[in-house]
Parts: sequence; C-alpha cells; structure tokens
Amino acid sequence: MAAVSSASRKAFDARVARTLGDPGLQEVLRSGQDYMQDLCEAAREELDWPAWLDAVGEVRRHTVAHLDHYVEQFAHNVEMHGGVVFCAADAAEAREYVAELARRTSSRLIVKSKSMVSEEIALNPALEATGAEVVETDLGEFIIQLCGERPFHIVGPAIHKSLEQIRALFSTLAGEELPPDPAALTQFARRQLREKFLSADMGITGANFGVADTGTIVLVTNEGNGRMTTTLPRTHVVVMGVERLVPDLEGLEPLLTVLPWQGVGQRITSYITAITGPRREGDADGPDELHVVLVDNGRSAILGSAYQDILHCIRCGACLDVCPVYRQIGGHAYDSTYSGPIGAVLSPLLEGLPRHAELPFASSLCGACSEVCSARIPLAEHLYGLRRDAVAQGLGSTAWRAGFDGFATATEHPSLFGLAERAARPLLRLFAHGETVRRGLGPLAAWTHTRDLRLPEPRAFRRLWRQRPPGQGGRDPGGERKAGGGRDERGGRSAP
Amino acid sequence: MRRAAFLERIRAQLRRSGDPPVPPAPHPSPEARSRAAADAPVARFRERLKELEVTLFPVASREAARRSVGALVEERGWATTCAPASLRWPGLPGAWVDESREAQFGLAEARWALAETGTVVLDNRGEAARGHSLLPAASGFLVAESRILPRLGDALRRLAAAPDDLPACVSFVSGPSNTADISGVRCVGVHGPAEVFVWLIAGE
Repeated sequence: MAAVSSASRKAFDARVARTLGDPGLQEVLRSGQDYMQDLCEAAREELDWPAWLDAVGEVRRHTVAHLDHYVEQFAHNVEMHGGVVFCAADAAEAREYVAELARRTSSRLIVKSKSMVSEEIALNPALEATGAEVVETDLGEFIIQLCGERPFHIVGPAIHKSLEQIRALFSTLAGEELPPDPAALTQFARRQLREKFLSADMGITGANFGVADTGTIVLVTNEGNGRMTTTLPRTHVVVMGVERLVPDLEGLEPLLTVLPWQGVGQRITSYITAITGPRREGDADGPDELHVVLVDNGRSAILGSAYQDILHCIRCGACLDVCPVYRQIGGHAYDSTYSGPIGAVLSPLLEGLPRHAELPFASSLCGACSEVCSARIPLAEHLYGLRRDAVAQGLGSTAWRAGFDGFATATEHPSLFGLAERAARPLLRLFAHGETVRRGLGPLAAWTHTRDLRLPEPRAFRRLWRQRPPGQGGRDPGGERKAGGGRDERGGRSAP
Repeated sequence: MRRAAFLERIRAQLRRSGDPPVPPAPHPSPEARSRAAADAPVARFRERLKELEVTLFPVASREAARRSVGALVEERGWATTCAPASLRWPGLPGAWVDESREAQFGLAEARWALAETGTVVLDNRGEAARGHSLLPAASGFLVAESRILPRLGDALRRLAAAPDDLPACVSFVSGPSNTADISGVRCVGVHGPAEVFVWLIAGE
C-alpha cells in the first residue's frame, strides 16, 4: 500500500528540508511574496477587480467547455494564414515533431523564449540530440539553463538565485570578473544573447493564448525576447497546451488585463505580441515558416472530470505568490514543471497521482489560492479532492493511513472511542511540555514534526455535557442510541 | 497524431455533440469596462508615459515632430536610424539604414495608442518592420492625438472588426524592455530598447 510513497515521500521531505535550511532562500521567498502582494493591492483599487476575474473565469470556462470546437477553428485559421499545425497526443510526439523540423530545416542554433510547456515535454534534450545548440533567452531561463536547473517559479524562473551566484555564473561565461551590479549583468546577457538571436535558425516560443477566430498567437513579455524570437529566425515554432485558447480577439481583454497584474504587478507588460501566420509577401521581416504544436499530454483526460476547471488556468503565478506553503518550501520541492498550488493540482493530474502523491498534501488548505485565482479555479477544493483520491488509491503514508483507519474504527465503536478519549491525555503527556506536545514518537512524530499539538482537555466534551446543570436544554449526545443498547452510556459512566 | 482523432478524444471527454457553441456574452460587463477606461485619454496617456519612464515630446504638427526628431538624433549623435520609407524624410542628421540590426535609433508610426496603459500599437507589415522598434537601443514613436483610445479592449475590438486586415504581427509596446530577473532589481534594455521616446502630435 505505501510502497509507492515511502521512497518518494523521503525524497520530497529532503527537498523541503533543503529549502527550509537555506536562510538566503527563505528570505528570497518571503520578500518576493510580500513584494508581489503590495503591487497587486494597487490593481484592486484601480479596477473593478472581481468583475474582471469573473470575466476571465467565464471566457476560460466557455472555451474549455467547447474545446474541440475552438481547437478545430484555431487550427483552421492558423493554416489559412499559412501556418502549419501539428496535434501532439503526448510529450514524445511533440518532441519528435519539433526535432524532425529542426533536422529538416538544418537548424543548428535554436533560440527559445520562455515556455513552460516545452519544460513539461522536456524539449531541449531532444533538440540537442539533433546536434543543435539550444539557448534559453528569457533572462531567468538563461540563468537556470546555465545552472542546469528547473524553474523555481512559473513566472520568475530564477528568483532563487542571488546576485552573487549570478555574477559568478556570468563571470565564468565571460572569462573575466563581472561587477555585482544587476544592470551590468543584464547588459552582459544582452550582448551574449543578441549574438545568438542574430544567427539563430529557429525560434521556439510558448503561447500565452491562441485566438480561435483569427488563428492568432499572443505572447506577453517584458524583456522583448518573445519579439526577438518571432522576428529574427526563419522558422518560428509555437509549443502550446491545447487548452490555452480564447474564442476571439475581444475575449483577450480580461485575460490581458488580469495577467500582467497577477504575474508581475504591472498594469501591462512592455510587450504584447499578436502573431497571425508567418511573414506575408512584402513584409520587411519575420519568419518564413510558422509551426504550431498543440500539446495534449494528459490534458484531454482531465476534461469531463471533477477537475476540468484546472484547464482554465492562465499561468499567472498568483497562487504561488500567496501560498503559505510555497513561501516556505519554494518551487524545487515540488519536483515538477509547475509548482505552488497550481502545480500541486496540475502535476498529479497530468502525470498521475502515484508520481506526485505528496503534492496535494503540500498545502494548508487555507484557500488563499482559490481566493486569488485569476480564473476563479477552486484550487483548495481540488487539493482536498486529490487527497481523497490519493487515500482511495492507497497512496497515503503508512502512519498517516493507520491514524485515520484507527480514528474511523474508534468513531464506529463508542466504547473504543471512550477509551481513546480517556487514554489520550495521559499518553500524550509523556511527550508534552506544559499543555503542548512538540516532539512525538512513531506515528505521532509525523504530526509534531511540523505542527504543535495541544493536550486534550482533562474533561472531554461528552463528559461535560452529561454533567451540565439541570435545566440547561439539549439532548444527550447519543441519546437516540441509548434505547437501542446504551453502550456509549456505559462507557461514559465508567469514566474517571 | 491525426487531427481528427485528436479532436475526437477531446469531444468524447467533454461528451459534446460537436454543435458550434453560442459565443460568450461581452466580457466583462460594459459597466466594469467603463469604470476602468480613462475619462481624459490624452492626459491619462501622458501620465502613463511618465510612469513608464518614456520621454514625451508634445508637438503641434507632423512638421514640428520632424524637427524635434532631428534635434534629438543630432543631440545624441546617433549615426544610424531605421524607419519605414514613409518616415524617412530628407535632412535627418546621420544616415537612414535598411537593416534594423545596424541602427542605433528606430522610428515607427503608431496605429493607435492606449491611454490607460501608455501603450503604442504597431502594425508590423510591409516596410514597417518588426525590427524597427525592437533591435535599436533607442526607439521612437509618432502618435497622433486623435489615435488615442481608452484601453486595450478598444484596440482589440477594432482589430476584430476587420479580421482580413490583420497583419502577421501586431505589437503592443508599453515602455522600455525590462526585467527583474536578477535579484528583483528592475533593469531596462534586456533585449529590446532601453530608451523610448514618443512624439505626441496635437494637430492630427
């Protein structure tokens, strides 16, 4: 039963411990969240915020509910404008298509704009296997590519890297000592990457949104790497999740109003680029070929399930910026492309609960994620739902499972319950300091390792109730049962 | 995967008959949108440009804009400028170049501007290259005052009204290229221009 989980649970705990034990990282996480929350306050004052979130939720709900129609329409319109559309059932199909395209177009140098889906399908190694050099051009992605790491945050992939770490990294690349100055380091990256852009054969981007009605690809960036990637190389490849569509251009307004506030705390990003087909006859620049790879990779299996609305997500990252658990454990603890509350729901759904059984439990169920969500997705409810699914599939930890089984048995047997009630305080007291248990043993440690536990009150509620002064109303708990056998009453009476 | 099978899988999961959906109602409600829209678009646009650290030159006419652009190019000592043919007036200090990548300064004409966000909307088609407003380290835009719209949705609705006229690339540009990827410090000029200038033409 717990065979799947004990090893992966240990690995998860180790990843969590690494972040918790790194004071620098803890500070980055705290200040990052506080900074984003301050910025977003402004949006809530300036706009009729709930109405815009409702609008985002409605556009996304409608699109996903009729996804087959909009995918068909989108593909048709991309092709109308001279683009090529490939439908990839899974990661392997998507990788093979892009790798084959790289071979066919003899692409030796490939520049990439930020794309979480390309991370999800592990595209880079497949392209490198064709002999091509693959360069991430989003500054954060560039940094983590040099480090060989995963994104730490879906919007800010390298927020966990300190100035000194980046300085050292770039200095190695430069072959000289660079100053610890963000502006100078940014200019160094600009020069490095400009050269790559100018000689790249292929550019790969994600898509923030696709517009079904016009076949338009929409990219939202601040750095301009999305524009460079779609301007200079002769082949442009878009790798996008099949669900990231809107019906029409007007449907973009709520999404493009809410996304910049939630993602980077700005009214708008520096660049929003709307691409409709490859360059036209007479256009001065732009790619000759445009390929759009629509990636399913587990998404269609979510349609029609209780979790369908997870596909409404617009990847703004707001849930990461409010999550008290992400605040402590950071992005790498999740061991998946997507981290934070969205990752804790999406990754188990895309890759299976056995692979990510810990993630739904990496949550306090406080509901901050549901409250902040751009698309009104009830993330906390889904985390709870996935916990139930995990338990139903026998994926909980042994101690945890034993605890709940024990609790279930006790509640079904009133005498046992009464016994446990009386035994709990004296037993727990062995581990207590004052009224609080801080360090338990065995199964109890699973709880006290991360939480405090108060000792139960000396007199249980059921006893107090029975001893209430006469004339105070109400019925005896278990009063209905008394006539039938009175086992719980007997248990109660013999209480010390 | 064959597209038909790909679509069929989605359709089956959704248990949909395949009938075309009824398009969603306008989003968000017109009331919410108007509350967000600017009352005085020109003043709001100027305010936003300032917040975005864009240098604004208010000018009375296109001719005045030309003189002002020339003066800036001279002052900065830019040797090379790129622009579509329609903007390449004679007498500019320095040289006009065809290749955006060789230019120190690029000039472009805004199709619209958006008051609420300080955005210029560019049609990149024909001679109006994508690179003009992207590759040079400094970027200038000519904006006719009458072309200022309240907000993003107003431009999107205009684009949607003429789908056959949609160019291969429309750019919405709001201030300089920037990042905060290195220790959260905002830095400009990552891949695109570090400096942005707007000539706001009152007479047009």
